Amino acid sequence: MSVKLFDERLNELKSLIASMGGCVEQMLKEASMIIFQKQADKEKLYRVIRDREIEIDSLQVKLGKYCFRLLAVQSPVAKDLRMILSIIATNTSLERMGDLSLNIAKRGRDLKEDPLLETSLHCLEEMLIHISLMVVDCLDAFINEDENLARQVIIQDRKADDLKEKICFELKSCILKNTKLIDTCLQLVGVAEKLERIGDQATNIAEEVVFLQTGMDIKHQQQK
Amino acid sequence: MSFKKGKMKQKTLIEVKALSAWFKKSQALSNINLLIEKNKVTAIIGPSGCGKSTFIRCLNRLHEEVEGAYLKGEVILEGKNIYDLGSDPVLIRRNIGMVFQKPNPFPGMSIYDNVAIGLKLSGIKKRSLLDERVERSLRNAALWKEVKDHLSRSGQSLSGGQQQRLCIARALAVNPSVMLMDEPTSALEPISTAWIEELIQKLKNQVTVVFVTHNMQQAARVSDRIAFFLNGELVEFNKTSWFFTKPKHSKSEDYITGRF
Ligand SMILES: Nc1ncnc2c1ncn2[C@@H]1O[C@H](COP(=O)(O)OP(=O)(O)OP(=O)(O)O)[C@@H](O)[C@H]1O
Ligand SMILES: [Mg+2]
Repeated sequence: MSVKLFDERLNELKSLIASMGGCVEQMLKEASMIIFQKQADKEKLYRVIRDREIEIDSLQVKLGKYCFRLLAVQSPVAKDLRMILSIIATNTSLERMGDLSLNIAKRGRDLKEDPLLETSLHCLEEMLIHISLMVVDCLDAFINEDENLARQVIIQDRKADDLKEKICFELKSCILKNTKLIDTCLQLVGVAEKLERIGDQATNIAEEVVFLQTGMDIKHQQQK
Repeated sequence: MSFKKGKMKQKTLIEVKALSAWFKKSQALSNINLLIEKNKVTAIIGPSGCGKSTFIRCLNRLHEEVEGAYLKGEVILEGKNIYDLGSDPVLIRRNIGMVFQKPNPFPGMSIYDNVAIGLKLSGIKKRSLLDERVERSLRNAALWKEVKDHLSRSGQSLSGGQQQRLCIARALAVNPSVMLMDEPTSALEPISTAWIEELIQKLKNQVTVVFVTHNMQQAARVSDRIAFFLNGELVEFNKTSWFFTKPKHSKSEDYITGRF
């Protein structure tokens, strides 16, 4: 395969990654509407999200197959090799993000409303926005091979963890005030947890960008 | 290839210092500085005409054999500059053996004599000792099994791949400390190539190998260190595993990914 053709193939792979990323971004927006917009048609939104998840799965399989073939025929080295390896890793991360977003949508469908939940929901919305930004940024960093932006995403993960802790704290006090809210509160804890994991996956993608640019594996290096 | 971190201190066998080489007025190498480690395989790569052959021919004083060719700088083997006044090029070439692109067994000489000749020249006459060394060299070159029953046949009656292994056996017979190989497999088909590659890996326990190759994957498979030359200059010298994953120099990156 000529270098020009190989570069075209790599660009195709990158645009598949961009499509998957676009799906995840949309899923998070729609999940947010399910949880926070009272008038939203939750069932319809849920079906849209479910279809997107199916689309992500099929993109994942397609991308995996293309990477496998390209490795076999091209034996890439140096940055070409790092690029394919980081596409493979990012592919996995995005598929997980899809699963997690679907799970969030599922939990959002039948939440009880109660004034006691207001503070928690407010925090949760803040967290969802924060995570969505991390997702957008890690994808921009990946597509533009922007190491600086990637490093910013990695730093942002700390705040995601803090927000989750705060939400769990708020929800615990809701349960103490009104035990009838326990089911809804547990669902909301679940949402916060899944969001945190989406943040972790965004961090993984950002770490892949650093690997792509520097050849260095910076996983598991942040001070706890 | 090993995944272990190199904690053990590497021993330098050859130190190339400020080496420049010319053919008449045209300069083929400029200011090469390089440490070749003992019992490691070093691959020399780079585009055609960049000075690879010239470089390895400077390592055993073959360069000066070309009319009008000369050089500056030092090649220090185990503490001694091979270009010191009074050092004998013939002895140096025995200690630093060389295998060429085209197998070149001595014409009209038997398989046995091809291997024994260097020993005889260095004064060994006892038949039993010669037999022993010939067998050992042929075994080391992974050729013994194929030729042991017809050692008196002409070396040129062998196949290309066998002839190349015969040349390796010939160079090994005199116990060199360094083996230079200039594109040793470029005239061979894949199976003979694989034989030679395996041989290089096995040999490195007894001899330090420096080889030139145009085959990037061969360099990646076989070598521990890569020296990348361009226009007579050494652009990058690096561990092979690093060179092919994250080269230091953008010119190296362009060369190995074919974006030159
Ligand atoms: N005998 C010679 N007389 C004059 N110039 C020579 C001679 N041999 C080589 N050169 C020149 O010296 C430079 C380096 O040549 P060298 O043979 O070392 O290149 P190389 O890297 O081995 O190339 P290749 O990959 O094609 O074997 C080239 O410009 C070449 O033209
Ligand atoms: Mg050459």
